[in-house]
Amino acid sequence: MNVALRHLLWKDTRMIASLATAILVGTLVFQLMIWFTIWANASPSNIYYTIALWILMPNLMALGVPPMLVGSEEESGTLGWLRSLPVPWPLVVVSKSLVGVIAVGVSWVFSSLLLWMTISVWESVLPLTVESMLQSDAIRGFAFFSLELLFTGFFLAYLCRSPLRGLIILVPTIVGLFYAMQWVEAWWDSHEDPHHLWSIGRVLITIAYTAFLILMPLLPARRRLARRRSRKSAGPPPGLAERDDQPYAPSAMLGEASRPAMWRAFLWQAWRQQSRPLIGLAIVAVLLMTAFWLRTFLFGLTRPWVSSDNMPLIVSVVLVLVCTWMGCLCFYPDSISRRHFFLADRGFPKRHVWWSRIVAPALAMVLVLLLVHYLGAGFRTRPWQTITRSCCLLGFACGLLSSMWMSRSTLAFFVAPLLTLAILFASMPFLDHYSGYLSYVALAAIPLVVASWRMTGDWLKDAYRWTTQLRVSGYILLAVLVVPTTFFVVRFGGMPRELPEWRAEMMAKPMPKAFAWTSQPQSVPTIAGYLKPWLATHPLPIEVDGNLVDSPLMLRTRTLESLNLHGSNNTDALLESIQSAQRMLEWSKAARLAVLDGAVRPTEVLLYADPDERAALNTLYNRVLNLHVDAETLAMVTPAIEDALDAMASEDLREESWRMALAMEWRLYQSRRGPPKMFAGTYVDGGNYFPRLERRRADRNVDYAVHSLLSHRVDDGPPSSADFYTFGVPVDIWGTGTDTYYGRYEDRIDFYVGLGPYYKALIEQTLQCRRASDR
Amino acid sequence: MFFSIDSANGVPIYEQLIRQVKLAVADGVLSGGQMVPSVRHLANELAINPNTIQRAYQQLQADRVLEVVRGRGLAVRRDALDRCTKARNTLVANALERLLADALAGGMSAGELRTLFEQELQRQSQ
Amino acid sequence: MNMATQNMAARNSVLSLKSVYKRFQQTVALHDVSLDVPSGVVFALLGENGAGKSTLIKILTGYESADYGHASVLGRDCDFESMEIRRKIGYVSDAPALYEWMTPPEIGWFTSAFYPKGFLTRYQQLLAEFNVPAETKIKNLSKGQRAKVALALAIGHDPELLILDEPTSGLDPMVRRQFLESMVDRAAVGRTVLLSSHQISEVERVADWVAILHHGQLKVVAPLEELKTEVQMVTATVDSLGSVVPVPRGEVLTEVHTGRQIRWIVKNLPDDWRDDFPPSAGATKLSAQRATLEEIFIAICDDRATRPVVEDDAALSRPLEALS
Repeated sequence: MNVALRHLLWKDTRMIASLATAILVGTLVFQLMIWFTIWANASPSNIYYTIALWILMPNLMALGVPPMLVGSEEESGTLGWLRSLPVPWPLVVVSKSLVGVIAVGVSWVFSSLLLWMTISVWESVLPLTVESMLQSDAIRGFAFFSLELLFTGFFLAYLCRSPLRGLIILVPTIVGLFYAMQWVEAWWDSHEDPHHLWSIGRVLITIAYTAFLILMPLLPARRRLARRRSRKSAGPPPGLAERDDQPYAPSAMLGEASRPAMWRAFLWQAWRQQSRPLIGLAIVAVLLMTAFWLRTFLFGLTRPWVSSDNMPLIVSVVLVLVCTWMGCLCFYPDSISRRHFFLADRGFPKRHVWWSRIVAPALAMVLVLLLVHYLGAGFRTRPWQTITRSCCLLGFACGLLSSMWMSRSTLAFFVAPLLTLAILFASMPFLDHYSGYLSYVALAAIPLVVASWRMTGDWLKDAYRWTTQLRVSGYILLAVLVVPTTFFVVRFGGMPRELPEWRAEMMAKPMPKAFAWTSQPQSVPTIAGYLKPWLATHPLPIEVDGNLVDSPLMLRTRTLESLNLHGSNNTDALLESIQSAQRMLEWSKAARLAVLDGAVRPTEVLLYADPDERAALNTLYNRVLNLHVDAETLAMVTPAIEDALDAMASEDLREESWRMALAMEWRLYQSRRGPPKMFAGTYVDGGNYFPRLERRRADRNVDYAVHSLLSHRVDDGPPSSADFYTFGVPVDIWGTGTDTYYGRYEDRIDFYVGLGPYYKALIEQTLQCRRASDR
Repeated sequence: MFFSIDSANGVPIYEQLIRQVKLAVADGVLSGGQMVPSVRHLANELAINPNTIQRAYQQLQADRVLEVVRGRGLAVRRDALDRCTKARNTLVANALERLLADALAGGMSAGELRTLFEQELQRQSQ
Repeated sequence: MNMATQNMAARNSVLSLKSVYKRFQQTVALHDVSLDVPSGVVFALLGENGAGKSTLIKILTGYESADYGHASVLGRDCDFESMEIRRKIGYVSDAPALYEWMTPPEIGWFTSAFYPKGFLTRYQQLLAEFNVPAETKIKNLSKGQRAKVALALAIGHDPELLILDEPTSGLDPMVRRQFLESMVDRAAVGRTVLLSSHQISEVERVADWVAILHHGQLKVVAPLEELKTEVQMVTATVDSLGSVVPVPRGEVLTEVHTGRQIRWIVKNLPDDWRDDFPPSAGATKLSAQRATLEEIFIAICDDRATRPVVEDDAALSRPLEALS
């Protein structure tokens, strides 16, 4: 190989060494943490973390190589020195590109090795979605994306003089490229391929695009590395203008009156240093969140990667990165050319220095948080919002600490995300079981911020000794520990207090006669068993297969489906759905009576009778409200509706059965041992750690929920959501990770006890109105 | 021998070199037949331009103070002593001329000068 | 230029600029600069900060290209053959940017790839001569040691032209001495050195030729000896303040009054200049001596110095031009 190339490769490799080591070591450490978690929790969903790591780390490498190779050379001036040597400039570009490709390749190989190890050990528990990601298509796609990232990074690094600017522009560019690629792929996939010409063309275009990517950085590189050509004038320029050497004119800025206050001076200086990159980052965040907000308009609901969790995840990652870099900006401009010595040499107070650097980036970060809060709102996104906000805060704090801690300032921009990842990964063992855990990671920001406050003195004087490093590590460890500690303290400290008198009362409460089966719960008939003979006498108005009759639950589902039949103008269909509604109301009533006798499990009322009643009423309400139904049809079906309404259980029956069901279920709960313990069909003690405390918490929560529900008066209407103790706590007793927002609607306990009569009244009212208006 | 070059005293550097060589020969510091340092060596030692040294050496050769020794470089001529002594005397005479011109222009009388001269001569010969 | 120098220039010009103009937006960096540097000399380029020295050097090394005019080094055009040029020249800038994380041997090894064989041996010798510690990273070296490393890198391949752009600014006298010795050594073996410097005392010792750049224009290009012979410092003491004395003949560059003394820096002072000052003129104590290079430089470049204009002599009121 060319000697010159060999030496350039050596030099570039040495320059990358620290970044590459950090990333590879980080990969290994994170992977070990994941393995530990999988082993401790034995939960297959942790495999996702491995996949995330597998994708993330090589891309972090691809992100970091261009600024380290090109940007730092530009800043230290060695690129200029290289230009004075007889080095052909394309060779410089080739060497850097080669080193970049190799570094990213090594990172991919290493991560893939770890992934393969993970998969081969836990093969049996591999979730299906993971398999799709491991197809060769997807792998090619990921690898190609890294390549794209690397070379776009090179292009921008050569183009922009400052590595920071290149990084900031890179983020939206790469997101845009990513989505553009998806569009192209989708367009391609949607076209017919009659002669298989498309696939050849596709390969060719891919090759051409790859070549374009690789060669593209040569253009700005030429501008930076080769001689600066200026346009030659045609003739000698005109004569020298009279050089008037002005005498020194006093500037208004230096008048005594304009002497600034200390705070103003500091803030002005900090702002001038930070303003441009900060504004750039803020613009990126605004654009991204706006695109997210308008995603349904921009991309259309048919694109699969929008309606899935794909886009929120990407937006999260980018926003956290943006916040991390905002944090890095706090001390980066001062560190970069040792300008902090200007402050140190003059004995400026540390407090002022620290605060003045933080103000602007902190405000920018708050802007991002607000954007997430307002533009990210929507159904299904509330947990996403909370998590993103916490991670952004954490990222900011990590960036803050890194920019002060790293002596090589550009490296701080890549160590900060690694640090954020490290702290997030340290939380991993807890993430599976505790749904609100990730919002607590924002607390880890506090020790980190304190650490940077304490380090200010050393940073100003550039006096880092091993004791400083030790202290910083201590603070980071504290940050990692603070999160689970606080979380568990809040979780167990926030247990409702014990209610011994109420418990005694409940235990003493008389139960129905047939309720003697606590010792043999298996022998109790479920609603299915109870319904079967009942259905023999009350046939359903819908077509059912023979064997379905034996499965009342399936019957129930079918009936629910039939409620929503189309063709509402068709009188027969209408009648059928009304009659189905009637059946449902009837069997709800039957179930309620059974509970009062103690003949049926209480969960049946809580989980099935109530929702069924509600669904039936809902249908009736919709049918009645539907204005497409003409007066004639309405007149025909009105009797059926009235029959259905009559079939509904009375107010008293509803309330009594509901209370009894709750009391019975509570009594049954007391005799359950677990783990895990269930209440009304759902798990109440979640979490893998501190099982005894969890059980106690679950018991107390159940007590509290039942107590508050029972003391709530049905006549007062449904509990308002502001009434924390009746509404909030019951939701909280489900301590597992199941997110009630994603749970199936029908399986929730219905706390809207008064809603049934409310709807009934509404329907009757509407019927009357229509009758009146149609006359 | 040691040279002492002052680049800013108004006398050209090559001139200073020439004078110092001649004085050295006259004083006996450089004896006949002794080699003088090469141009390159001397330039390196004194940190002055080799062309200047070359010029000085050329002038010294023209003045018959130095001669070429084949294969070895430049050496002091054995008969250079007289010439250098004469040169030194010329230098002293020039200095004296300048001194007297300054003194007389400054207003000192011939008598004062003579007294000063006698005193100084007596003092220094002891 | 007189005939001898003109011939020399035509014969073997190491560096040649013809009517070079360069401007950066509003600032004129170089205006109609023409220069021929013969081989085997130490050529000093003097000028104030901002006079255009660095721009000129950048054009020579291929960093910038002139707006108009022609620049060539070693017979090769600076615009088109800059790679060839860079192979044959060595360049040391002020505050040289080197890879901080390398040690001196490492950076030498790295650079040897771009030059022919022999670089490493010479580089090794130079490092030994300069007494640079081998195991210390460049970021931990002192300023002087860094400069020495940069110099060693620049002359390791025995370049025909060595360009030094204020290499000794801020260095201690020992290191400066070593730089001078190296420069002188290069000249002694017949190579050319282009030195751009503010250290006038150094320039006086080692330079053969001197060029003075002022506000982008070349004011003077001459061999140093010639310049110093031609420019004299005339001092006159007047009887009483305010008495008017004639101005000496020749080209008067500056005139300064202090108390009862007047001093002129005059170029091409005729030998019979004292005839202009009969005793009736009111001037006593006239003397003329060689001006030092520093005084010449200040006289040429000081915009605030008074230049007496004599109305009846058109030659004196013409703007200063290069010796030619």
